[in-house]
Amino acid sequence: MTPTQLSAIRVPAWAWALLALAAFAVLFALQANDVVMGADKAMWLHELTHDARHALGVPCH
Amino acid sequence: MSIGDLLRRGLAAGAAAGCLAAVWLLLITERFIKQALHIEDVRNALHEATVKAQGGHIHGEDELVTHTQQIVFAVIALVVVGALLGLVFAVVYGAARKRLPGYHDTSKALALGGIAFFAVTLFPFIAIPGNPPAVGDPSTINERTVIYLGAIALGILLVLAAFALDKVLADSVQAGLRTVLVLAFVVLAGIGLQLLIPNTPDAIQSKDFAFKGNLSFNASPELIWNFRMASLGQYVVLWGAMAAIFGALVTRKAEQSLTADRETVSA
Repeated sequence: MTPTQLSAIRVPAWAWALLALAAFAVLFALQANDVVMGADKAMWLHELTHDARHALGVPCH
Repeated sequence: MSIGDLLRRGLAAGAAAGCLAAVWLLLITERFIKQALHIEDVRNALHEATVKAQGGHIHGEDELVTHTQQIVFAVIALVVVGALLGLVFAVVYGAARKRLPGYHDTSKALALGGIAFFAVTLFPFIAIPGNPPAVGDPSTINERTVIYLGAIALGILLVLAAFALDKVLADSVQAGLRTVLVLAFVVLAGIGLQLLIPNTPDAIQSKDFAFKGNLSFNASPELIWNFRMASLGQYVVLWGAMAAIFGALVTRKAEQSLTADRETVSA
């Protein structure tokens, strides 16, 4: 059997928006905690994600 | 196969890969994080003793969270980040499926995993590698973050440029030679970009932490190296598992729809 090339799958606009949202959520969780929440909560989340951030090689301190 | 089919599989594969990366974190990466945290503790104790000896006192701040909480949350964070990256993986896979090397979903997904590892992990890692706690000057965090995010953006652009070059050469150059040319472009342009990206502004072993003339209150080069390799290994697990599981799930779905189509035809 000769291999047939697999086709692309249609990606609607909402899926691209979801991609952007997911990428932003990762950024938010690991780095920019203070973009969408108050300083106190941001500091708390920043401390909680401390080990994950280091382990994933994201700049810290 | 619809985008919804891909997204569900991306989410599942990403979360599963996040779990495996969390196991790596608990078994390996955490060992080096603990060693580095110990250095920070020694520094703090020394600082406190010095201040007290001079007749001052420390305004002790309560720890916001304990290290145990940080470890537990690191596991949760890895699963969540894995699931989110799985969604991104699925969308990119859908759009790039035709162009990815290989004839099956399994090999194509693995190829995308390798590309993702290169563009958003290895490329920025070479520009500004991650460091354990006890390394880094807090005053340069914004600059380092800009370098890091910029390096990720350049890594993605480099891959997109490579695919564009492949398309341009498609009509005039045969497949084998084209692969060599595209890879050569990635290596040369990649080296060029790395030279353009500014270095981290931080000194890895800071004189700020040199007590009585020695640097021993800094993380040792060995600890930093071990931590970095552990961090890279964790990413290999994350991307590798995500790609392998996603590829397996998509292949199964593709085979099912193929069988269903055949049954419809024969019925």
